[in-house]
Amino acid sequence: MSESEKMITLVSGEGAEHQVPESIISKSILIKNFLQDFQNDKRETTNTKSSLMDDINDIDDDDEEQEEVAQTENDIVMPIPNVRSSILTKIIKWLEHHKNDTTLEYNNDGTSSTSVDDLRRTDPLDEWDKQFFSVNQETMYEIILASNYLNIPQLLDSGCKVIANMIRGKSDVEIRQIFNIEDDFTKEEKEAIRRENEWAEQI
Amino acid sequence: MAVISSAETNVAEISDRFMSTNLNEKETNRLQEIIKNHKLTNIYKDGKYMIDGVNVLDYIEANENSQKAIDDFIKAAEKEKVGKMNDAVALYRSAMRICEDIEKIYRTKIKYEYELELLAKSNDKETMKEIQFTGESSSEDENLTNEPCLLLDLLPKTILRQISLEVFNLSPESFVRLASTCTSLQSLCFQNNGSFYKNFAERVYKYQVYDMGLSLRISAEEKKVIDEWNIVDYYNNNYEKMLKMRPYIKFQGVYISVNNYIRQGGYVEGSSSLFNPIHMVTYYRYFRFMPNGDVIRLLTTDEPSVVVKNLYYGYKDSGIGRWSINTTNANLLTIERLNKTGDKCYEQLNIENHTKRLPHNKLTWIESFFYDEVGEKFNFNLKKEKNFYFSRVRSYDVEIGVLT
Repeated sequence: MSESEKMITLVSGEGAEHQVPESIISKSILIKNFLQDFQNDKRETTNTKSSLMDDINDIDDDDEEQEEVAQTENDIVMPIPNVRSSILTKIIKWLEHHKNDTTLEYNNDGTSSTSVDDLRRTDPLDEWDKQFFSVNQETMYEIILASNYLNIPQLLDSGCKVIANMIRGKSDVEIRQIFNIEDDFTKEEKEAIRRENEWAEQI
Repeated sequence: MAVISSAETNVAEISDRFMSTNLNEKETNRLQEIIKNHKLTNIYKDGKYMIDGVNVLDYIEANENSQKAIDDFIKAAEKEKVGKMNDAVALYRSAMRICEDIEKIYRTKIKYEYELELLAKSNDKETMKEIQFTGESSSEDENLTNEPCLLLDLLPKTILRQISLEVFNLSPESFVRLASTCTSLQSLCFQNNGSFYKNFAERVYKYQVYDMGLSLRISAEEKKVIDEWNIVDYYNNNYEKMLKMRPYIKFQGVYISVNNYIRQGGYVEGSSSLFNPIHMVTYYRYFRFMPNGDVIRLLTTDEPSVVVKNLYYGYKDSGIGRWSINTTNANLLTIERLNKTGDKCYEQLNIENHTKRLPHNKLTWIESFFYDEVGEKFNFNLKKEKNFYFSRVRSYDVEIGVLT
């Protein structure tokens, strides 16, 4: 079973197929849940099927049946229409790199059981991820969006941290330049905001 | 000297013109003319004060002596700013010796530069482009309006909020900056974020150290109880109020107290001077507090520009004390340290507000004392000691995570 691992086929927005081992892709909670449901369904259907077959042929061959189940599982195809092929490739690359990570326990809805406070204490950002995200902004956002959709909390966290690091230590003018943010404050508003928040910059 | 006095009338004329608060249209045009015709970027770029045409600055440049005068005056002003009165007076004097009107010239220069800046800002972008200094930023401004902001266009609010939280964890200061970039981010970070003050309060009070009297530090569990009591019972879950009212120590900067005293100097041998030479000595007390309960103390004559960025464990003659805030008197800060003979010394200060907008920014002395062998309390004289004021130090925020 282990040598030929179950492969999942992901179909990108363009319709291109990407083969991913199940152990890797199960970091995506969306897909993990999908697979669970799928397997549950399968079991039910195979159960009904086998009972049918029992009735008809009266054959009791467990081996054959298992093989059949495995085969059908190999054919799992999952369309991911709102993620482009290039992004999906990147994400699979990320998953492969992080396959041996000991991860924080995430609940099934993607929230971490550890609080924000603990998050702060975890390693700021791993170097590989920093490299991974050194792409143009649009690609970066697409990766983040995709990780949000696929529900890969670890990747989403990393992406947010990368952006946070871009913001850190910059002035408001610099932040606007980096992200093309349009400054829609009036002079007076800006002054008021500055005064109001002066204390917060000093804590 | 001679050259200066000959040009003095000229200088006075110009300075008067710029001292007048409102420039008329004609003069504004003239200034614009100057901007266009002469490369005024020199002012900003090279730190030179040279301008073609009729100007005191041009004149200063032409003469070595007057150049020195203005340089000295600027240096003197800087020294005064950091409290080094003795050096400042010496430099002021040297500048005045060269030119009596140096202060006027200096003011003119400042005024002139200010006016230019204002002009550059208020002018249309075309003029701005011609000045290299502002040109760069203005052309980027134009790009801003053309290119979409992908960050805000693509990412949903939940992700933006997570990003803002990450920014907050890295640096609350950057979080504030992010919030002040545009209205939608402001409302995301502040207005539609109920936990905003809570986040800040948690960050602030988490790292405070408390005591129940001299050398009676409370444990982490006790601190939890006190923190809980403060927010729930005392401040009615009003985190904003608590941040304003409940004193705390800040770690992202340094507390500095600037002191001056006058010391009698000795006569130079063989001197027949009738006056006693005196020295004005400036010294600084530095406190840098650490979230682990340490405080790095330094008493030195070195200026903040030298000390601040390097102030850390083991820097020069710095010593380490332990700090804590009293649980009953929330303003009372105690610093405990060992003196050379191994006696425990205590310094007690009040945490006060400098201004309303900047709370908990000032430390005022209450007393400084130690107990000798027989337990008798001995107080140090604090008459000449000045208050501490907090200064934010940018490079410190990197280390706060490491230290906790």
